Amino acid sequence: MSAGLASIEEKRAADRQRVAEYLECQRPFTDAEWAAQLRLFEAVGRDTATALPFWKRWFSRWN
Amino acid sequence: MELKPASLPPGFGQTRGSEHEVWLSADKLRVIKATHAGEYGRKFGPDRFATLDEYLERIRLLNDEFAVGWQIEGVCGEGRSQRIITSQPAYHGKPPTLADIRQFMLERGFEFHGTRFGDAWFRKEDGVLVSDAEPKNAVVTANGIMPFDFIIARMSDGSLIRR
Repeated sequence: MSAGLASIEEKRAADRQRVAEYLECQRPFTDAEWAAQLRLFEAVGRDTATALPFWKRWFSRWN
Repeated sequence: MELKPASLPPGFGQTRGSEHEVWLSADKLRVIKATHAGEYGRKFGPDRFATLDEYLERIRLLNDEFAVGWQIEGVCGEGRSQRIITSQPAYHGKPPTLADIRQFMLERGFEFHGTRFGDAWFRKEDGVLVSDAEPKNAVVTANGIMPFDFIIARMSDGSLIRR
């Protein structure tokens, strides 16, 4: 394995570790937390070109 | 890969994104995602809609690369009504900034490319290409960034990222 690929694999292992640590301490969302998080992500998603209504997505598929 | 039949779990239709309907599982620990009817998400390049095989490959690669815990629950419906039901851990946090995402990708050996199909991150060592790396598709948690909805694929060459 090249040094580049070995370094990539080290990063993957570190990511697996930090996600596992997250899941060990994970707690359920409350309804209020979930609603607030949705609002946050809807706000940033609204500015992107991919957040299209269904008819625009279908139109772009065929054009 | 054979997909087991699944029905839409309770809560369907809470939030509609560009690729999925999304809602919280009954135990409030996972996010359930259903592709839009007859669609399998997006992909990078001129043909922007992914096939079923490309969508399943995206799930596998996103788990391999970033360990995001994206699981396939099953398939609901057939043909133009078909939806793929998946789930992921429900990550508490906020959207990252573009600078956060840039740092995250650079640390993992990706190089940024502005292309005719949009922005993309490519790692030449193993041909992994990531697109849609936007704040709406990742969460900053206490354990770092979780890129839960980046689009990821392997490319045999770098032709799509050339200007």
